[in-house]
Amino acid sequence: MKNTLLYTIILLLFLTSCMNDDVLRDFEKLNANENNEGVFILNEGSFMSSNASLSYYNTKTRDLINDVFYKTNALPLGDVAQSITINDSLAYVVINNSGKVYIINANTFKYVGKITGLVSPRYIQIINSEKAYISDLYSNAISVINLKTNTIYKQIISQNCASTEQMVMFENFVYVTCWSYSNKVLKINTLTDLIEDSILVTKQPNSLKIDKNGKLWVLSDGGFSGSSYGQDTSALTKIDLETFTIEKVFKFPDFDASPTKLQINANADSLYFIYNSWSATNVLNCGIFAMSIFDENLPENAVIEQGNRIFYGLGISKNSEIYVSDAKNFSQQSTVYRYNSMFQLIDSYDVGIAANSFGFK
Amino acid sequence: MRKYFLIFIALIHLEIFSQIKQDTVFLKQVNVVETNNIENLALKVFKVDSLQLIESVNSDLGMLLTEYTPVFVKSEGRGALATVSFRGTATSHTNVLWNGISLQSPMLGQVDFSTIPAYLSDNIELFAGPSSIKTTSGALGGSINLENKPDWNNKFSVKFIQNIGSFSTFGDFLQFKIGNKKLQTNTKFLYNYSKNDFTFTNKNIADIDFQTGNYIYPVQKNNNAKYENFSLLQDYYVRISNNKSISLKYWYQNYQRSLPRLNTFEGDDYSNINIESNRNFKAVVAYQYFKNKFNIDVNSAFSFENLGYMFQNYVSGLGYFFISNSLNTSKSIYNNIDCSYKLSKTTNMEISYNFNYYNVSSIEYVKNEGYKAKRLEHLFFVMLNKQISNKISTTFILRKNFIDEKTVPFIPFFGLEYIVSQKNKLSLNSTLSKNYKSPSLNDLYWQPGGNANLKPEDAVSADFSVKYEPEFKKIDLKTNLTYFYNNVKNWIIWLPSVKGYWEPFNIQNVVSSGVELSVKIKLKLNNFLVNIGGNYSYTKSLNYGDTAIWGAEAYGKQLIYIPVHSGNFFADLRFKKYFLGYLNNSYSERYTSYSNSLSKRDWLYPYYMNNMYFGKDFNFRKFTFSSEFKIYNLFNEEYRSVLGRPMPKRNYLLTISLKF
Repeated sequence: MKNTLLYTIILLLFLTSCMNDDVLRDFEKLNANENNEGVFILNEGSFMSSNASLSYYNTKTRDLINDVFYKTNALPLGDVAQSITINDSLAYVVINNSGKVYIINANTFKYVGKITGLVSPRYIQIINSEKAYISDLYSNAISVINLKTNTIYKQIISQNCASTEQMVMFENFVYVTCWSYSNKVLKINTLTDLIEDSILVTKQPNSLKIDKNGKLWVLSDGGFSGSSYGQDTSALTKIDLETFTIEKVFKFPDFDASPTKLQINANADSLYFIYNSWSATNVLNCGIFAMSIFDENLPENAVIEQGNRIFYGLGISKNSEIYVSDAKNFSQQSTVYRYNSMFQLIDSYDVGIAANSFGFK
Repeated sequence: MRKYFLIFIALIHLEIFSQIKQDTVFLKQVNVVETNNIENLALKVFKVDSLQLIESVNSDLGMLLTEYTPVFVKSEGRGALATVSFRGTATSHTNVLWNGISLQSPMLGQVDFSTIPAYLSDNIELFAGPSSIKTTSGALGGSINLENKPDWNNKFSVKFIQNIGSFSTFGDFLQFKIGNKKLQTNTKFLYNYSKNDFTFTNKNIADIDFQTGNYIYPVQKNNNAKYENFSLLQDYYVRISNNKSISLKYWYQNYQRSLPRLNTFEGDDYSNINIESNRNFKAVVAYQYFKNKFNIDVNSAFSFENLGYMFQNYVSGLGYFFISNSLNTSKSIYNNIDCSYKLSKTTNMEISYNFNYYNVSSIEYVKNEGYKAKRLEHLFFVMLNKQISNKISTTFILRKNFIDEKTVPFIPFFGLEYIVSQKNKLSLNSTLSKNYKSPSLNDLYWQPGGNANLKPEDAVSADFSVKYEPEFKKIDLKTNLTYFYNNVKNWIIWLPSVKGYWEPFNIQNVVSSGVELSVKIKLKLNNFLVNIGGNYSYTKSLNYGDTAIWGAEAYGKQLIYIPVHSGNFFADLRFKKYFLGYLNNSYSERYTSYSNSLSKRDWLYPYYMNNMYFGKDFNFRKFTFSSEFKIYNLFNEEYRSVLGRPMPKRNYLLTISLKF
């Protein structure tokens, strides 16, 4: 009996395994060489599911490839992809809940490097060929990166500003919005890496852009209804950068409106954003709003109506085409709509889960 | 002795009720005297074998259900959150009752099956689908009843179990049972600890070897995954006279665990650190009186739960700081009075009334947000069991609930059993019910996201089964084939939203249907005792939600993380004092997106897990000594069962036990 038992155990141990995990990596890799104009669509994925992905759309041929990072590199992108920044031949993809930035070749999608050891990264701002800043949702600090080694070498502590969000650079300064439970825009001197100044704006500035006249436009969503931080009426703020003072505040008429994703065209004279609501109440005229930097008032109607869709990501191409994603319920494939500069639909296609931003090449 | 004992009970009683400042409260029936089977006529009840319960001494309830029952368990990893799907329903649709008290948190409305030690219960029964209405309402998938029972023949017995396993895993279990025909006390201590720091090759991240261009997959440890669980269970049972008895059950539990980071994480080593700690206690006092055909049970219970969650990061130059630091407290009181009357040998009637009260508070200190809420429930229950003839028996139940003074529609149940052949034990059984599940307090009030306008989930459920349980000379066969159907309207689901946080929605309509097959064979051959069995479920759980919200792609598609095929197989062989067992549980691919789109990246390929154990018992006078060696992941497989979580390769557990 003892022997039978022993033999049985030995036999069982030598049986081959049933689950084949290697199938996730052993496949013919995508061998792309996309030298033409194209758009990266970054799909955030679901929080804690590590299912973020990157799609690529060739604007000329209208060919779409989903999941290009995984298909090329046999690695998942990570958990919660936040933003994509293209710098020459490289694309920097910030993966928020994976604490890292993947650097890929923008034509072949091959993974060429990464910046790791971050806390909760949100956006990357390239300062020059050697330096970049990475903002952070949770760390009270902006990480300064050496782009030659892709390592963090310094932290710019952002006191009284728990969350740093979007960044833009103008001359030698980087302007940063302090978004979550905050209401500030910081001014950082890129030569010294010191915060030189800050300015108070409407609660929760989520995005910012610089126009051709050197004015800074900051879009604030006003916060969430019911949050302990309180809610403001959302607003678009125009800041003069020479004096670093507020030139004009455009208050939105509806208290429950939550505008997001401020974008600007290549000429830097037209602003676009998503006009939506985070409250239970319905806000009228939701959709894509467009306005000239010379307009005296906020637009009243959407140029692209949202309808039943849930607009989440917005991008403006070099020729002023509008890309907007419908994230649906954030748990299935998003649909991206491409409109021409006259807001007529050109194309639509399905991408990954929760498409949140576009990277134009 | 009895006098002192009653004083002791009274003292505990005082201690408990001075804290809640409430009148006495009562709860669902507790078995002091064995209940007659007549109450379960025509119900579909699945009982976990006592042998399997003993074999699961080291397991949590989630593992036990995986190995021996048709319930599908989704585990986030070793020692981490385990949720279930019973007949294709959501985890909130399976209620767990411990001696009649719901273990579903009134806040979350669900149970974490990894935190309930399987061995604390003396008896585990599953009431599938409609039959759950016998025990509770709102359990659209089914209910799991954990019971503690007295052994009136016991005088004095002690059991001690010690186990040591891979990844610094230790477990201690100690039980004392003392008593006589009038009084029994049963004390159980349980302690589990695991550093859980298994080594794995992380193939979800890679460094590039710049000379060859090849990937180098890092070998990592499953850090920040420690878990620790302490439980103390104390039962007292007193027979005051031949027809009166009283019992007190008390369960204190304290567990702490860290949830490991996803295996795509490459951030700061000291960031994304979290700790979950839970301290809870529950107490049930039950009084039973019976005379002739009349039986009355009066129960009252109190439950206190304190769940803390901390999430922190380290920033150089600033030190550790909290991202989230929350404390969720719930106090619940349960009262029940239950009267039954046996009109005849073939007819039983029962009525009961529950009065439950919940008081919860949730605070997140970093943002200083949260909510406080109360809930009051009046639950009425009427049941009629009737054996119409030798062949036909029925049970009819009607429940009426008032929750926060809002009336919930009637919850009816009807069960019918037809015995085709008494000799071959072949019978047909069908049950049918309507059921409602009210949103949990988090669903309604959670900050941010809670939606006070949620409607209760509204279900029609039915099943039809064929039972064939013949007994041969040396073989005992139990087979059961069931078709089930649930149609749930206003199914509640939490989804991410445009606001950046998750919100619950009434998804409108989910239809789950399928087939369950369970087989158990007991075989006696000379000195061999063989127990073989298994369960197979075919489950379609389809989303018929509004296409305006879900998109056409998700319409009619399988809900995420619910496999179409799932099953298990177990075999236990005993020869004299040796034993050898093999356990397999398998399920087909699970979808992770509501449109069921399959990307290899997110592919949860079919899962086959194999475990085995072997050991020997030794007897020495009144002592029984037993040693067992268990091997998990027998074939040393590298696998994933959810996205982004590392899983351990082959690992071992050595258990020694001593009892007398």
